[in-house]
Amino acid sequence: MNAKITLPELIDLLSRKCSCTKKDAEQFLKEFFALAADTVAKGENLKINGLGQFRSIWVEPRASVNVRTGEPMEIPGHYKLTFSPDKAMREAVNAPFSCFIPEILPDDAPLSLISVTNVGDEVDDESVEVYLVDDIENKCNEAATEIQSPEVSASEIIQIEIADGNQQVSQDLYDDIKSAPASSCDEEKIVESNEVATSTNETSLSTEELEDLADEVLQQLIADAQQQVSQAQKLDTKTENPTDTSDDIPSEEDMEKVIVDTADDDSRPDVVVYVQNESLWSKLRRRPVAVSLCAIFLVFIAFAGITWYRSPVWVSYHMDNFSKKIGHIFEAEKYAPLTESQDCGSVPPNAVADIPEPENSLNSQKIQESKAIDSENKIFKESVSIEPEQKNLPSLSQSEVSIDVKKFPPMASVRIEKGQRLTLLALEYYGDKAFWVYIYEENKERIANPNNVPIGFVVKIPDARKYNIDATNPVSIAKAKEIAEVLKKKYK
Amino acid sequence: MEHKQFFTTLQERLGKDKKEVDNLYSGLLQVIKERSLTMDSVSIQGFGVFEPRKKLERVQLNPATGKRMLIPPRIVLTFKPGAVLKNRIKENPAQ
Repeated sequence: MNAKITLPELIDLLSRKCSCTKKDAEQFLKEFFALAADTVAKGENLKINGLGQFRSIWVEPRASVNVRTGEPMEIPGHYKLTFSPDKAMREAVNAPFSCFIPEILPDDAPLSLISVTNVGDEVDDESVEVYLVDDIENKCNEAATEIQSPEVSASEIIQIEIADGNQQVSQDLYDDIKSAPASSCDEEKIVESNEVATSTNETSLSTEELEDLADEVLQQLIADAQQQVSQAQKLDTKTENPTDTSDDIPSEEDMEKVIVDTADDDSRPDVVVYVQNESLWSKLRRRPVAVSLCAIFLVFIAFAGITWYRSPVWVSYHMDNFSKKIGHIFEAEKYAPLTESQDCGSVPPNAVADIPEPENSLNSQKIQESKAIDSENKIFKESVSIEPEQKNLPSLSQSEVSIDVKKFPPMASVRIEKGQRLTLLALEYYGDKAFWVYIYEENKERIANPNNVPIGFVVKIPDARKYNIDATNPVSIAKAKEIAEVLKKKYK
Repeated sequence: MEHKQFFTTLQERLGKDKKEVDNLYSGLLQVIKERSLTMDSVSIQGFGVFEPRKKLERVQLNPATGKRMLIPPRIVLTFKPGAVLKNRIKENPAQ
């Protein structure tokens, strides 16, 4: 391969091929190529059948560069020899590749096909995306409307309730002041009438009017609290009602705060705020996203509230909160100290009569009143206030107990190990094993069966004062044993 | 110069009859073909080199029809004149 043979080898090959002497072959070859060279050198075309055609062609002079010096130079025109093989010779040489045939290519079919498919894919993707976006938007809108609807209803309820309250108040006021407009559904007018009434009465008739106002407010609040309690008791499955009511209460309280404030001070700015709230609400309606976010937040709060209702500590805590809120309202009324004492006197009977759970209500009342008493340092001379105080005396201890329960944190938390029992813990911490019931009481929610506390369980040891635990007092021990008997019957 | 004229002058120079010359000539062609099949070249001093060369396939536009064609690879016998012959032709005063 790629080997080059020269004339002597060619002579040898040719002599063997033609079975003639080397001398003859050498003579022939030399004469053959000499004649060809002479012929070509003359400038003649030489055509040899079976080999090909030699042609001498004219090459035009052209500009070039001297490779060594870089100077421009001109290659002069000259003749050059070209060779084109004969057809027979060409085919014989190309024999190994003779199977290949020139092929006509189709007109750009594959490329166009590829581009078309790409475009189709893109279109599909876009349509899908658009569809998805539409879907999401629809879902969002639906969700927003769904979330909106209960809020709207809640707001309507709030407005109606406030309107009712205002109507009552305004009716009361109407009896006293003839100049005020009659009770109408327009809330702003009512509020204004309240302002007028209160502003006119501030100097002369303020005490009675404010008494009535406070009565109304507290009655409504207590009624709402009752609703909440009853609903929380009824509720086994979650519904949206508690959320509505729970939403109602703070807003209503706020509104009432506004009203109470108006009663005290120049109330025009407050009314303006109220009107702004309405316009805000209408603005919010136009923004479903913000409203939906708010609604989700409210629902979350409501859910937290429901879980709070279910916990056993709820009642006392809620009543504490409730009383605190009322206390805040009363603190806001510090500037009109004359009225406060009368409020304290007038409110409790109604509240006690309304609330079905006497203990809690009493507690709340006591706390509230104690706070009210704290808040007012000056005047507590009204005769009306004596009555509730007398009522309070026995129950104050209860309220103290309820406060104490919160004050005493657990003494310790012990990890139950093998052989450890609640009775042994009681003996260790309280000096008598009968008090194990109180340890159980403290961990009641987490212990399924007091006879079988799992190993590794962490038990909270309550403070001895929380349950009046006294190992030296036989009454306390007897009480603990009674509870133990009850528990034994329960878990046998 | 045509084939017939070339061979008659060759016969005259060699002093041999036509049959011998044709035999030798066919033997020369066969040697060249055999050499080409093994991709070997034949060099003749004072004249030039016959060399088979491979050409790659290529896409060519047919100027008549405007269609593109795929030209397959092939082996071509090339001739490269020697320096002596080149110079002789270069300074060809006849034309």
